[in-house]
Amino acid sequence: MTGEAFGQAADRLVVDVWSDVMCPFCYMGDALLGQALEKFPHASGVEVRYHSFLLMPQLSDGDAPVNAAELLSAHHGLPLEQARAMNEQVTERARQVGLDYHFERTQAVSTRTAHQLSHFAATQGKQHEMIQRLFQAYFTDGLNLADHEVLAGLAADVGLDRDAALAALTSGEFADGVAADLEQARQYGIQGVPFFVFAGKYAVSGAQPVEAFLQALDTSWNETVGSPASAGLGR
Amino acid sequence: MTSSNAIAEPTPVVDVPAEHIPEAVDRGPATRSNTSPFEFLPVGEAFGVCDVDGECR
Repeated sequence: MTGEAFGQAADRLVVDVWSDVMCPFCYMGDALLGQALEKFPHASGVEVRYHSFLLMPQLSDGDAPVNAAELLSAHHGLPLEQARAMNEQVTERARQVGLDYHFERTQAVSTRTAHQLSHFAATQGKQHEMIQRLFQAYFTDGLNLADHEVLAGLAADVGLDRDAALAALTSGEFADGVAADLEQARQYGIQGVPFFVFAGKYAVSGAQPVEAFLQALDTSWNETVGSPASAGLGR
Repeated sequence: MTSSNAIAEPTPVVDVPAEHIPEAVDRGPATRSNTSPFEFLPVGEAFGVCDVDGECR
């Protein structure tokens, strides 16, 4: 873990986000929060931090990739066609947000290693770019996010050192950081993602319309960085 | 927008009882934990949320 662990920032609004790279609404939530920030007048004073969550913790690193619809069908005992229809609904939702989902290409795998790459990217100041690339790799490109070589290539795509990323994944250097995020989520009672926490105080569950995120940003900003008390402290 | 890997300190505010949130894709309501240290902001209809069992709605 890096940065101001367990400490609220005095000079900026911190938004903590729990998500999984194989979570379709997490990708939408990230895009919608980004669209809200584009409209938020104090966006330069907002820091977004991404934390790990496993939607399918039963998947192991050595498991062979499975198509998302087949996994959904098997996991919930649904007819395959019903699982595909559900994914089509989600695809339409994503299209409304400006995202291009291709569930027919998806390869569901354990995302533990992908989360380690997110933590690695955070140490390089590139976590958001990495998260976005991982989402796109899963939902649009249909890449195997458990494959270290694939992940290293994605790291390079966002300007990170490919060899350093591969070494970090091979050594498991950031496995403890991922585990800490998962434990934190458990302690906070987070049962679904995306899960957003503004200023360590206000929570929003699920991907929300831009207006809802703007309201959350306004409320939390006005009570923290933008409050008269904060201004009086010279922040 | 920047990013890092730390966790902001939660400020326990209210003990939020378990409640239902609106469904997004016709898969029934999701529930929130009643152990959360956070205050849930009122929001409209969510695009959706995915539960720990991998079910998205």
